[in-house]
Amino acid sequence: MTNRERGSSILAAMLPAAAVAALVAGAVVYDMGAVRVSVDEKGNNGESIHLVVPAALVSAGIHFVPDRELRKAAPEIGDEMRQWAPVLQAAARELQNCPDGTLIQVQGPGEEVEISLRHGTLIVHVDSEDETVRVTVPLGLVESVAGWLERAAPPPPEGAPETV
Amino acid sequence: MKVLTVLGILVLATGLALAAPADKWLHVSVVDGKGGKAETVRVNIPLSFAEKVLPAIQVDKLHNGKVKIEECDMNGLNLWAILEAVRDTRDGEFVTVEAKDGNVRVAKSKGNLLVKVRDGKKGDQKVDVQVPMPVLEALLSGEKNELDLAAAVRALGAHGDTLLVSVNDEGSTVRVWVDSRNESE
Repeated sequence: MTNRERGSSILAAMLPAAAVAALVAGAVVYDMGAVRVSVDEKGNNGESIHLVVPAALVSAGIHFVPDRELRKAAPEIGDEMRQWAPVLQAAARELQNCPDGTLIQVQGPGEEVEISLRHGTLIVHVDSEDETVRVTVPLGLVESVAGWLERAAPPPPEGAPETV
Repeated sequence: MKVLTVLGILVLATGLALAAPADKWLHVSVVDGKGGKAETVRVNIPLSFAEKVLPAIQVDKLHNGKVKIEECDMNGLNLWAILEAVRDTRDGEFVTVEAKDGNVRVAKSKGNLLVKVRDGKKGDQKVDVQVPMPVLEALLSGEKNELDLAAAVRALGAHGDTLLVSVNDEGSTVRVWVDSRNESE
């Protein structure tokens, strides 16, 4: 068997493995859903922005951000992170077990805000006189980000009362 | 044989229905203003969600779903003692205040603590609060000077549909209630 033939047979053997890996990766990405942000300005010259980012990408990406960088970027939120990240994580986890429905609805003259749950996704919809904004975030991602924030939070200062 | 099968299925279905009660929802509805300029806020929260999330909050005096009340004496009134007294007393009217521009009534009736406030010259400002006694008992089930909110939420979930708070003012209404629906009204 020549080198060329050997190379071809290795490639042929690797192709199914690559296809399976791609399928699994695709299934994971599909299963985690996507963060969708759409902003539509009203009026004749209104601009529109539509953004779709796979949640798996965000979830994987945050793990590449060193904890110290986050602490450096926002040192003053250390206490808040330590206090509220577990709450956010518990809320996201529990919301995944809740039935679909509208959680918060605010209606006023010229403005409407709605936060709802649909199929494990948190949907924030804002409709004002100037623009319509819609953000959808999979709850699994919220839980994952909250867990990361909790881990990244700086330790409490010495002598501080135990909070948990 | 068929009758036995049908009976068996009925018994099983009843057991399942009792074992898995429908999740209760806490609703808050605020309507401010009238007509086209009215602003409305509606909040719907599953009680199971509140029950699980409350213990995760560790802020100030709220820890593990319990609120510490260090200062129970409020203008000479010992809130703790009053709540305990209400819990242990039979049905009846505890407080009745009748003034020129308003009335206040605090009573215990049919397993509920009732607070009724009528204010304004025509009594057009109304506040009604109704707390089921099991909820009050759960609230007081913690240590002294501590209100167990998580236990109260649990008790609320086990209780039937309840209108907890109703406020009617000249231009606004507030309602807080619990039922099995996941949407308000």
